[in-house]
Amino acid sequence: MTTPPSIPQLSQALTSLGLPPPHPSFLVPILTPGPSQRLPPLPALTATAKLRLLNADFTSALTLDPSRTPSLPTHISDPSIASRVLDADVPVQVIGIEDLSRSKWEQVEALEMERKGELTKGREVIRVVPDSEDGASAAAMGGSVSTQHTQAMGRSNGPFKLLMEDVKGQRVYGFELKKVEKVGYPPVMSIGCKVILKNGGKVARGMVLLEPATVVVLGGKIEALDKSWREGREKALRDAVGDRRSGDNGSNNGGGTNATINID
Amino acid sequence: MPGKILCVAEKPSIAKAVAGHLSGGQYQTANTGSTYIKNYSFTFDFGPPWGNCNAVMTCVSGHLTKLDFGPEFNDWNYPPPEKLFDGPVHVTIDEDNKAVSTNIERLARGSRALFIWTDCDREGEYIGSEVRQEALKGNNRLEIKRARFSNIERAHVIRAAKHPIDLDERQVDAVAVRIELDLRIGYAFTRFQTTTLRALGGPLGDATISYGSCQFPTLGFVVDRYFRVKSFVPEPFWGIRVTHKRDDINVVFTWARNRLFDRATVIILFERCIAAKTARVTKVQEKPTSKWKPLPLTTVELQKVASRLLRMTSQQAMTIAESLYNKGFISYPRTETDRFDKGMNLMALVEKQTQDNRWGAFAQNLVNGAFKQPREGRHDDKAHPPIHPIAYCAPTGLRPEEGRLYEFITRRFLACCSEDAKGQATDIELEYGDEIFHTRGVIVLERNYLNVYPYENWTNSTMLPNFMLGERLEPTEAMITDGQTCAPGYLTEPDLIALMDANGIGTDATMAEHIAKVKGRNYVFTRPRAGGGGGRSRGFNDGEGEGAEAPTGREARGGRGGRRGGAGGGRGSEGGTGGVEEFIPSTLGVALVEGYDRMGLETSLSKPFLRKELEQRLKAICEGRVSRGEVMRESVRQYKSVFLESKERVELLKAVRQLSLCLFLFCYVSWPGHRVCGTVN
Repeated sequence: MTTPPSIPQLSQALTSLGLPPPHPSFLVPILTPGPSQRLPPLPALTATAKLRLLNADFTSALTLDPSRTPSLPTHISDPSIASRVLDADVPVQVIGIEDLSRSKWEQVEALEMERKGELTKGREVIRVVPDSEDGASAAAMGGSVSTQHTQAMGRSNGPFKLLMEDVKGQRVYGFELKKVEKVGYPPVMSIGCKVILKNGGKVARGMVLLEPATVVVLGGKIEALDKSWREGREKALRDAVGDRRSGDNGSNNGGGTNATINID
Repeated sequence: MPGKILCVAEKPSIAKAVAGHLSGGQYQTANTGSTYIKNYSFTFDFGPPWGNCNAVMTCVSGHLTKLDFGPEFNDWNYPPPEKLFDGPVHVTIDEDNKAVSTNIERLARGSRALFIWTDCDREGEYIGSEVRQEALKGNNRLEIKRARFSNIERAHVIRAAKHPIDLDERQVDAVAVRIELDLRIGYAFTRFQTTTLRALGGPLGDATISYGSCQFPTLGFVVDRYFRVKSFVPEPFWGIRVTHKRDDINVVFTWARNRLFDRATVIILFERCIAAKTARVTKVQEKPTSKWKPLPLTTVELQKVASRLLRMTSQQAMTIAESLYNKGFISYPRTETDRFDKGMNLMALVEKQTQDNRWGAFAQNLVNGAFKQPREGRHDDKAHPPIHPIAYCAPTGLRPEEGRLYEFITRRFLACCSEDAKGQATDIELEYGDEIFHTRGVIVLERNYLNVYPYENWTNSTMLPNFMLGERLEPTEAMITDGQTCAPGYLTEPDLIALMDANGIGTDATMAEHIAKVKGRNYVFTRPRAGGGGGRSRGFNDGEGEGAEAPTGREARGGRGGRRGGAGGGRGSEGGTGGVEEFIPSTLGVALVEGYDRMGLETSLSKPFLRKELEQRLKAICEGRVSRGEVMRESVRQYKSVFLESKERVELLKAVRQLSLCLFLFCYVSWPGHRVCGTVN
């Protein structure tokens, strides 16, 4: 009989997959077999740990190992710094996504049609019929919100702007300087998706420039955040355009660009 | 073999034209009980098995019979409207049509066979069945045949007379179902709406609020767009434009990202361009390009073009096309087909146009070898070819609008038979900072079809100077541009037709009627579109009867400006107002749509879904996939359940009153803050 893997072994297995180092106590439950259960082999444990890690909240105290996890430089969002470069691989999680190529109102209209159960294909209005009565109520409960977003948001090439936060909860915006795979609206990229901003990644005027060479999208999500983001999406967009209409242009556009707006 | 052949056309003009062709002009004319209808007698060799026969050509005038409820349904309140979904209906012959029917019945008595010459479409097939019904009353041993034709050119007509086919019972069934459903659904909902709203009193006290299963979705499109325009919120966007001057030419490069809705991002990208100092030419590509000639003409396309370029409403265009067809100048104008049959002798048709002094030389050139087979679209209704000229007609022989439409149809046809326009395109791409910019130059080398088709144009862009692949240059200027999104415009007639077409509301043959109907009912109004696109800054324009003047200064007159007199339906007829008309719902139109939408029915009546399903079922009948009875039962069930649900939620419809508040139900919906009202006379 083999000895069960140790915490460092499992931790090592995870980091070798490019994941950030987990907090030891994060791994304890995984390495603790239930009563009358035998611990699976290391590859299975690694897979379980990876899945849990990607769906965990990086900012909660016992998820990542704070002593070994790099964080963003302080003042990263300082717009007065024209250009700088990250000097470590920083794990972050995505907490906001914005398609910069489409107006908010256009997105509101698309979501509204979806809500009414309609979809346009060219000029044709198509009714999206739920499979059954249950299907309809599932949609009302938010069960099929993700499909809703896929259809309403279509396949956009972006660029997308992301709001991200590191292990310490420090936030920074970034946008796609070049197209990065798996960046998009949920479900392409969910809220809480884990991303590594790699050593050498560029930062300009407080915004991270996302490009394939310096960004690794690990995937995953934070269920609660993702759900509330999707459900509150239409309202958030409406509020954002409403704000802009009532206030002056320079003001905070819906919690969007306050970090960088005063650079000019 | 003895015996006469009775021929019946759909309308007098066709009867006369066909009689003329078959008899070689040698026919006797006799009057009938109807002023408009004549009987033409002649002899014609119908070929085997008929041989040389005496023939009488007569006609009906559209539908011969009518479907209606019995007198037990005369009272709008009792029996309750839902009974109209299954109450008995009767086929009757109108007083006006009695003489027509008697004429057919009488002629049938001495005849051996009946040849039906109604138009070859669904409706025509049904009218043929009505004719058959009457004729059989006079002679139940009559053999029934149907001539298949799509224009009234001589050779075509003679061929049709010699190769008759049978009536298509499926098409007859489809129309019968449509007529019965329209009657039941229309009556039930019209009575329900009207009695409900009349009870509210005010201007609705004696109004009839009619419902039609095509009308309402049509109205729905107009209202949807109205709300999209009204609730639109403009948003700013930013972009980057690079200009480079070379050889004294300013070359403008556009940003590959076009525009972004985030200023900070654009500024950062711009800054990186400036920091890069030089740009690199990453692509220089020269390649032939072409502008495609148009597809063969369908009815929907004709209607769209007519309102966009010829300043006719779709309904006017159809009426004029109908008259050109009746006179034998063009093929049947109701067609979905956008491909010519390979066997058709198009060259012969082109040749007929060589005598014209406007496009004759172009046609001659096609005849001399420049002819190219037209492009093939994907639609084929298997009944009619695309709309094309049949015979040459000098402009002097036509009324001015007929002339314009004939000219368009002919030019379109010649364009189809010509060659795509050819040009040379140069694409240049720059990489500047992290960003890509490009520019394109086009030189038109051969105009080809454009020479005969002035409705489209293609021009040279500015000449581009030479750029070398890989060269580095310092752009003369780079700047951030900004702009604002603007609201979509209100629906125009071409938009509306396109929406109806895409959503299966009505057929190409009936769309124009539905549009005219929602105007006639005062559910929507039209006015000339002011200037380009729809911006919010545009003043409110009452537009009524004031020709093409742009609404400058109108806004200052505020709420009092737009006094609306008379009914809106007549607007289209004046034509020549110099622009496309746009559609705006009346308060009543908005209220009705809102009322039904608020009921939250699974399928709102203002949406196209129910009707589309019905149209698809009618098509299925024509294709033999379902029976008439099944479609009837299923559709009645569906509409009846919507009806009963609507009845339950009638309070929401009554909210029409809250919505309109004032007495001015038949007026334009006002802009916020600009209530512009007027009462209907």
